[in-house]
Amino acid sequence: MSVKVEDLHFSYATRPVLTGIDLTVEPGEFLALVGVNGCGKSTLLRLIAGLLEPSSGKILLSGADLKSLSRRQVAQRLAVLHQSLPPVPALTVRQLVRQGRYPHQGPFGLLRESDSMDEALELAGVAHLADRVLDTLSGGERQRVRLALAVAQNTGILLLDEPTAHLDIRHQLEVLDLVRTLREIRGLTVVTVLHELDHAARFAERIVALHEGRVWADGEPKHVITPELLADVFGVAGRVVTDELHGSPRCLLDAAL
Amino acid sequence: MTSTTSPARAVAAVTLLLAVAAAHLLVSGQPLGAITGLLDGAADGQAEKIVWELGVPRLLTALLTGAALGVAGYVLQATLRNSLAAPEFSGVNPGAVLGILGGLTLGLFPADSAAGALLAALAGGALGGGLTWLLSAGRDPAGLVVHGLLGSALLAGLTTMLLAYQPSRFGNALRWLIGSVEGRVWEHLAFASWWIAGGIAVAWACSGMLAVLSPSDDHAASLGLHPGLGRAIALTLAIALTAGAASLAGAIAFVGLAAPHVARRLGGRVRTVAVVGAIALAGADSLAQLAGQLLDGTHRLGIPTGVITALAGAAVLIRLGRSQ
Repeated sequence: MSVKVEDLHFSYATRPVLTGIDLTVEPGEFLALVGVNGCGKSTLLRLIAGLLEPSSGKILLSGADLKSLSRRQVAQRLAVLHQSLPPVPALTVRQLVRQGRYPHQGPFGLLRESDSMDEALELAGVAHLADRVLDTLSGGERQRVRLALAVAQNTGILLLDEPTAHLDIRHQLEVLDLVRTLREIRGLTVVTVLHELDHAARFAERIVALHEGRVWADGEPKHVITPELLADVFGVAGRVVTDELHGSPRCLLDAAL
Repeated sequence: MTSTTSPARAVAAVTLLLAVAAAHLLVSGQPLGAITGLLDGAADGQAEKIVWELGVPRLLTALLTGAALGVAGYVLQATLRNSLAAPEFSGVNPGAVLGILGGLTLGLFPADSAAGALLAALAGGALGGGLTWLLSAGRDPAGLVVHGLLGSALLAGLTTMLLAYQPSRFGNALRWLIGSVEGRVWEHLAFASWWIAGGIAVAWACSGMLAVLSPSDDHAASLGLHPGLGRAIALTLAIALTAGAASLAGAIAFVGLAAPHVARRLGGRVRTVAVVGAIALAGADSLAQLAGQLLDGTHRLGIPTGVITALAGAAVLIRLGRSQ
């Protein structure tokens, strides 16, 4: 499924956050949104998810205007991995992942077991954790479980808001690897907010850098990740080299400007 | 709950319910023969009639009230995302009691009218819940509990004023204030039982919605549920169930608070909490009857069940709090 954003504006009260965003994400594309804190990348993600109402502009999911879709219809088309999932006492992995079927079956359907749920647990590699209580899992395991929930939701689009926040480096790589695998298996269109530029360059096919409410750069990692980006968007003096093994650009950061 | 453990759980639940029901009938002081004699389908003789006309309705009142309060508490805790949410702390239960006592004081319905009590409890419960809602409007749902406590205190104050205004009614009001399942007969149950059973059935049908609503509004919205709508449905359900319980037994405390904790520890949801609540209140009433017999003759009312639930519930909560 594709995502199309046309001349999107958004303000929190009187503070403009996004001032004219145009963006088209092709079906099956893996796109990373980067920018400094408060640049509006999470806001853009929430707008695409239909969790915020734009001040003006349009969002189309495979050509269908987001405004014309019900909450349930949106949830059948896109899954969101929010930055955090507040704890729920005694909630098990299986109970959480089963919720992914909610937009498809309605309240009654959740009383039944479902095949696609077992498949989701398998794909995310958390089948062995199915009966564990979520709060007893490690951060990396929790993220995998939440990806299983997104898989169970069986959507064409997956939005992720900093999926690697608060994880140690091994689990950061594991989670992004899993996102890439799921995208290949399910043909997902992935839009993710990422803090770590090296991760964005390594895993995404396309990077969109937001700055002062607009798209500052949009393209392949090797064209977007430049010393100019580091200086003008992030306020850092740095160099960009090429990772010989993966062919992706890597940032060497020197000093804050 | 996985499919492999479900039958075992169902058997355990039915066994426990039967055991508590049997114990409840046995401690009423009637001979065993009067209880087993009922199994032939007819109430012959004085003792069998007493069991049928008083013992069984009292048992059913305890089971239904306990189940209703347990489910109401579960719904509130899931919706407000606070494990201290309960009918008695959200303005709903105190509102329902105020509604019943206010209706009785103003003579809006006769003291023996079950439907009148239910309507008054509904109106009062909605008022109490609405007051809490207004106090916390536009704030974090988790903060609703703080405002619920404030609203509950306000409503309890109003109830006290009402009683102070007509102290002669205090004796009759006591059963509603403390909570008691004594003296309930088939007529009281006629409508309330369907009301409560229907409410629990709706809650069960909504368990998917409650699950989706539990973590956060963002989570619910991303799964296709409008969180405000879900919360409104859930709170209406909690008010309806609490009012049904209050119209039968008044302000039974702590079942609605403690039963959901126990049910969650057992890994269960709506059905489990209904069974836990039913067993808890029938058990508490058995204890109340036993204690009443030990103090035979000193109290006209016996020991109200509400006293036992308040004590037992406090003990359970302290244990839960310490073990967490």
